[in-house]
Amino acid sequence: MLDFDLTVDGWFAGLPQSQAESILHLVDSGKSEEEVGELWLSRTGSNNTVGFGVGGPIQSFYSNVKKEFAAFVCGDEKYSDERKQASEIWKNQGKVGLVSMVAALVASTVGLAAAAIVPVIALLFSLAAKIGLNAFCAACNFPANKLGK
Amino acid sequence: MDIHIGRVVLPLGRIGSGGSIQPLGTCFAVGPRKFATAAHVTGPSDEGLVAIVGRADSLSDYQDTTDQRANGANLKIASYDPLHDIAILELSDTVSKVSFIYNLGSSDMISPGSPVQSLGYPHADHGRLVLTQQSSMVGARILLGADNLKVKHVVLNTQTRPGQSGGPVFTADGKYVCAMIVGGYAPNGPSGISLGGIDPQVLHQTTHAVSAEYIAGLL
Repeated sequence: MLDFDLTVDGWFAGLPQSQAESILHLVDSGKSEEEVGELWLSRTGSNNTVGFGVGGPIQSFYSNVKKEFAAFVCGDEKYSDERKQASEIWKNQGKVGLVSMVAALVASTVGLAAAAIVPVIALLFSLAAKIGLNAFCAACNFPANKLGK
Repeated sequence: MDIHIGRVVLPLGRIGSGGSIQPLGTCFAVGPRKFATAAHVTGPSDEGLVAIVGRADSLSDYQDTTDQRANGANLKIASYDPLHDIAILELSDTVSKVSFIYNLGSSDMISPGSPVQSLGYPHADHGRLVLTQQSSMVGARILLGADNLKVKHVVLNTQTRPGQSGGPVFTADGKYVCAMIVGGYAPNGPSGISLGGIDPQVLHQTTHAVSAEYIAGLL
């Protein structure tokens, strides 16, 4: 697992103001971080509006993003080098740097743009900090005895 | 309107597996290296995303529809807000820049009855890349729900077609982009029916455009 303690507040500090305001509005209105994250990666636009883009509907990528995020924070051995880097970033750049680094890492694995998933990574860190990393990893079915540090 | 507007209002596409470019929609410059489009045009992936350059320079030119060549400038997603249906794109190469003379405004600047000019690439789903200007009028200013957010839009009294999403909506004097085309009213979503590529649910005379103030908030 990560070798530093996550604290609860401040995970959205690095987002553009309008993104942070939208996300905080949704969280404050009673949606969970999970619900907002899923919303972010599964829908576009307003209700009762059909886009005039040429591509098809947006599929949900949330489960893939969450799976890789959990692999990183919960101690999957494939990310052991990156967790060491994360410790240094945490010391030097705090939450903004950590969110940015993990977004880039997860995005490269799941084939999405890092900038598109930064808010989702911030939401997942916020959730993990709120319920505790052990509880988060248990909920993601990452048993501690099968993972490296 | 800027005489060289075709250099900064561009078709957006994605390079497919065979190397050809599939048009997706419209984008327009919002900074020396940045473009805006609708989030539903790109989705959260920027793999193979390009702005198609060199198709049009001025609106008064005769655009050659027999010339199917398409050159792309690589783009990456710099910011993404699906709730307001906005993606900000940035040129991947580190030296290219564009220049333009308009400013970003908001839907607050155009009340019902105001004339507006919108630009885009209609019928891009059929590979047609013709920069097209539509003159219309604001029919209403509305708040649309995006989950439980309320988002400022304008209803334009004009019909749009696939490929126009992400197109700018200018004030009549061309000095401000006050909104961006995102789609059409379709109660309960798309019908699932396609008649000659047309969904009957969106076959009507109005278009939704999101206020440009949310674009400025992502830059």
